[in-house]
Amino acid sequence: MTKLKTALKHIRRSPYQSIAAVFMTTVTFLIISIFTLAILGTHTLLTYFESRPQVTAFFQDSATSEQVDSLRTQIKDAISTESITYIGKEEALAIYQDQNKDNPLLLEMVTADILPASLEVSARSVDDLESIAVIMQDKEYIEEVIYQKDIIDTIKTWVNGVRISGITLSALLLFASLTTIVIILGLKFTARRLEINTLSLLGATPWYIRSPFVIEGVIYSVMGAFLGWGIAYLALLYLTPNLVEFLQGITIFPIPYWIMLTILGGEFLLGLVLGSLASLIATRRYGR
Amino acid sequence: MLIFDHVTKTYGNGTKALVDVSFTIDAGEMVVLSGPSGAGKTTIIKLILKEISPTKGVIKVDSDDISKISSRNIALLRRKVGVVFQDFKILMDRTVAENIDLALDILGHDSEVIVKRRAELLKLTGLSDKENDFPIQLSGGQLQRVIIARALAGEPKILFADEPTGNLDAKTARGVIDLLAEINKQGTTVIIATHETNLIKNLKARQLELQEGSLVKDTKTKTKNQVLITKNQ
Repeated sequence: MTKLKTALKHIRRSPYQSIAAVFMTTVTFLIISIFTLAILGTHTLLTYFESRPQVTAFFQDSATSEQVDSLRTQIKDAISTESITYIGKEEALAIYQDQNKDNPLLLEMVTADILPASLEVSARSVDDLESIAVIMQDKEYIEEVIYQKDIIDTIKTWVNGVRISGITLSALLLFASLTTIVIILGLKFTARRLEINTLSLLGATPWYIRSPFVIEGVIYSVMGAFLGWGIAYLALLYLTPNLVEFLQGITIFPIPYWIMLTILGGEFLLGLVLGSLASLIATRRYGR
Repeated sequence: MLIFDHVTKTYGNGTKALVDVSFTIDAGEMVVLSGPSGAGKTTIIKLILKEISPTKGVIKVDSDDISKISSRNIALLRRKVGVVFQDFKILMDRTVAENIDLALDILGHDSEVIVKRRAELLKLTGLSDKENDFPIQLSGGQLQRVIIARALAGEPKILFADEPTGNLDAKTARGVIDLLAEINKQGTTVIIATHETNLIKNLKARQLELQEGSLVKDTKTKTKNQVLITKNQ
């Protein structure tokens, strides 16, 4: 308790240095929070697209059920698939009606006759999508083939990009925060060397001398973690309506609270490690 | 209690601070370590606190050879010796009570014990009405008493006072010496390092005298120099 009081006294006595340390750690944890959410978001997006029918072949109206079955068998024999689903005209209409239930004008204009039957194939591997598409495109009774390889590839590239840039930026900022806390605590430690010398001559152990500085470092980084996380969460809540509109039909939002609490917990632990490490480095002279 | 056995200390620049100094101080003794400035009195304190190490010889505090004490246990050694520093080493941004509490907190006492012990120390040193004052509000004599109170906080076996009367008027200095004598009567070994021989000439204490790093007088045991002088006579 005495050590905590001493640490708080150190913070009060040099408020600008303390604000600089908290600001730096807040920015760091804000960026970490944003990238963590972005990585989780893009990952969910990827999972969403991967779970969708990945290749869809639309049949001409003249296609017979034998031709549909033959195509289904040919695909099954050639490639390992997750599922192959036939969607008839009536079923296509039902899906269309469900998707546009809020727009009566669009519902009035469409009947089952004008919607094509289709075969939706989910592959086990994204790499097989092209082979499936080639098999389908060969058939004269197929009107059109669409597949989502390009979308998935693009998302994968984005996920990797976000992950790499997030990790790189976070690592750089963590290093900057570490350095900031080390410099600030180092300055404070040097400024109080007479007091520290007195404590040492009075029989204080190295840990007794270092502990208020370690607590101070932990306070800076843990405060930064809370503030950075809080700002990111508030920004997320503010932007949620816009993001929901942008990602129509993809259910990423609302982000479950347990995910936010897990991120907070992770950042709290990271803050503890960061603050402890920085203060131990700053006071290492007294560790021997 | 405290043994210096053929201790020599030569600093890095070649200055010989102590030359082959030997003495033994027993528990409960009152000792005056005198000598002019630069004679080696402060070096003795620094050696006892293991701020510096001897070039030669053995130093034992409470029967522990301090050269064998690991750096981690230096704190425990320092708790055995209360020191009244020449330059006070008082924390100016803390009150009298906080300065004393600090020494007690270092020892790991809980707040209840700290409050009780602080009151005892303030009473002993006559500072009960000054506990909430800051050092800047105190006179030289009062400051010296605060430092004595702080040095006694851990009930050390040895109290070492380095020039405790420096910069004090004669009356105040007398009061400080009387306080140290009172502390000695209560069983603590007290060593007073001073260059002001007038103040301690009437004090009932063993006299150790240093000249240019050598022990030239010991009223308990004849030093090598005293033996030589006697032989020459």
